[in-house]
Amino acid sequence: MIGGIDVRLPTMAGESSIEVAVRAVRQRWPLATFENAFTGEHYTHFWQIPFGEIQELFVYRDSQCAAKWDADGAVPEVYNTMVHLILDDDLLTVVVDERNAAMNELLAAIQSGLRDEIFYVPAELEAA
Amino acid sequence: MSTASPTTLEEAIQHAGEAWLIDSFAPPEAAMDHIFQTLAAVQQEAQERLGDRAPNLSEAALVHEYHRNPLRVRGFFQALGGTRTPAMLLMVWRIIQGMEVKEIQMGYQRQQSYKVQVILESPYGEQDEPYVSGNIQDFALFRHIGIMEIGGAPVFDGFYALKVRGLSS
Repeated sequence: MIGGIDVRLPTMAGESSIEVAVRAVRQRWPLATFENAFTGEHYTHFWQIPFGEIQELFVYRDSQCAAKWDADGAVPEVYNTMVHLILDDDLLTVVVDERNAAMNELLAAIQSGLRDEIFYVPAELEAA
Repeated sequence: MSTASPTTLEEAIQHAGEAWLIDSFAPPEAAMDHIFQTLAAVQQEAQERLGDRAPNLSEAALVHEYHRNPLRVRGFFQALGGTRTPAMLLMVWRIIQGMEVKEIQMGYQRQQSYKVQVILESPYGEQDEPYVSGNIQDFALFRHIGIMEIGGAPVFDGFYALKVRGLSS
């Protein structure tokens, strides 16, 4: 995405951070489609995403929005119909077009998912 | 985790740092046979429930998926160490694949009963999938389920690997 607003979210979820974010976003965008920001590979289904190989991902609200982004780029008609997720160690950057109420709700959902204690508290392995 | 690229399920388990699955089995030499038996039971459960839509849980498929999504498959390895209930393991795999947790009903009475029912919902309009267990050991699986809120509403979603601290730590 060119331009946009960078929202930086600290994370301890490591490689799972993008998955957590995608799972949060699809709560509001159930028809979301996805694109590897490096390779341009598109994924129409969640299970197709190779999260272990992804450092940057575009999440589109639906396939129509993805097509519009591909054709026209960041024109006003498609603002806030795509989020750009960038993982860098302990920081997940979410690039959005505008900080309106709906987008803030999505960002808060991502943040709440990343705060899950499962990513912070080590489990002890007991002796068999 | 070890660095060599795994080509077998046993190597993937070790590569993922989950060798305790094998080492804690008695005897350890029998662990993989037991794991393969468990996976076969999960595959059968999947075929009976899902038919053509059943996931492929063969050794080759799991190793392939491990290369694409090591952390997610690591979570499944941990589940293999936490339960042997085929339906619950299938539930775990379906959540990892992207099925959403629509509903959880749990009943428990001390020294009398335990029952949990989880209903998974497909984001792509497939039929809901109910999973039921009366084995209290399966409750440990819920430690892996992701928690979030959206618009102040509760959401369980995702099945994640625990950051396991080993015996020697």
